[in-house]
Amino acid sequence: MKPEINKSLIVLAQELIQRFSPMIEDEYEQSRLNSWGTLLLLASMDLDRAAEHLVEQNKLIKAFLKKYLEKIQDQALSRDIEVLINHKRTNYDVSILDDLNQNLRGILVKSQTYFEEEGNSEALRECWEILRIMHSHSKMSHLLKLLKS
Amino acid sequence: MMETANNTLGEEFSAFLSKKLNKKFKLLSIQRIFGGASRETYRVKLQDEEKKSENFIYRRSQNSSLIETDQKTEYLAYSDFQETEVPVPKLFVLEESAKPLGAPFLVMEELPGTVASPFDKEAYTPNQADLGKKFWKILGKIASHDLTKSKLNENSAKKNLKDCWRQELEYWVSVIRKDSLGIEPILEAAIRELFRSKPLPASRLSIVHGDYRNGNFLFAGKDITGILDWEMAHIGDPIEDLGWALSEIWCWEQKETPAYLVPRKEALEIWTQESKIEIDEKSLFWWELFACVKGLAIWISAGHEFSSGSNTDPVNLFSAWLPGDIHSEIILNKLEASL
Repeated sequence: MKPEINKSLIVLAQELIQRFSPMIEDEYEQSRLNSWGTLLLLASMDLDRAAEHLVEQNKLIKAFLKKYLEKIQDQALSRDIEVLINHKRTNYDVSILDDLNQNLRGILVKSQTYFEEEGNSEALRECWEILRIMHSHSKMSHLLKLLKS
Repeated sequence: MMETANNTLGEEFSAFLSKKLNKKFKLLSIQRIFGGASRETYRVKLQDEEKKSENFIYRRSQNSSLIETDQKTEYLAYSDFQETEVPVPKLFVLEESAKPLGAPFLVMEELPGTVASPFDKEAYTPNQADLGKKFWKILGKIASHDLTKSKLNENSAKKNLKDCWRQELEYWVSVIRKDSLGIEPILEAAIRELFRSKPLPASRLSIVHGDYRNGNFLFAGKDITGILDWEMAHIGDPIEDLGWALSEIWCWEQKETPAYLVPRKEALEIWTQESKIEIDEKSLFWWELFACVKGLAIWISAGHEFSSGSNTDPVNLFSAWLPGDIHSEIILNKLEASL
């Protein structure tokens, strides 16, 4: 088995920050290289679970839309939801999963707007729960400490 | 290679300033300052004919900048606070044409002091109490600054007390619509909420700094020596600056101590006392939520600059990833709690 890509990227980031950056005399260029190293480190952490996160998000949004479909009286919106919840996944490429995720996010925004207008608090609460899970997948704020070090 | 390019820029700058200020400068050094994505900022050290050295800050517009504002806005805002209790650098030149040095630019004096990262909670230790009092007092002074003599006001489109919130919101939503790379349901929910629940009309129109926060001021020990980065300055509701400066993004690891200076309650008391403006809690909530939307517009714009290849400065990628994530989380917390 070959070394994993994300682990290799972590080593590369460390090399940039610890080995090459001190060789640069210009303060601006040194800070710029350090930033690249840190961003590479952040990207490597995200890489490993990117597909899994998208699959989970897409499943969650589909389940929510399926559950509340009958509460939606807007025919155009219902039709769009049906098309998306019946969409079968073709493969696990991140780009394909991301395309579907964007379409589902679009419908989720429309549905949330609809439930706000209808005052459906139960649907809204569930919607915010999904948004919190989705946000936890892209969360980076806990890495502030790492950035400082 | 980079050194040569910077030196050429420095020599050209030195020749320009010699002519402009009727002096004979010699370039001693030029150093680009890392961090700002809206301007290229250089620290230039020149020596005059009497061998006296002078330090200048040279801010050039970028071909592509994170926040697209002209140099004049920043110049006018700095002009309004020259020789006032709001510490700002002395201005030397505003050049709006790209002809002399390849891009419009501003030249200012270099003030003493240090700028801290807004994400460093220890940055002001052990002087946070003194700095905090000054930070919020200065913001109160900006809010209560007399507009009748303001050059920024003179050169701005007319605003009214009732609708200034809408103009700001519509502007930043238009930035989001133009630059967004994907659909962000959390951000969309915040935009809908802001249009639904407008704030009270502004109690007065003021100069709004537009990016007043920790990280945008110079400090030396217990003193604030300069308020910087006025490129988003405009005329509007003074609570807008308050909402931005109080935002949890600037005190993420110590949320009840905005800007990592003094507790929120104390900050609000200092500001109110100085500005003589009463704070309506609901309006302040609105402006704090607005700060998240404006912030996300800026971070989205940064991500767009990076993605399109027009400005691949790592600051743009960092802005799109980390501050964008924090502002989304603040919205999530505020709106979920208000269900």
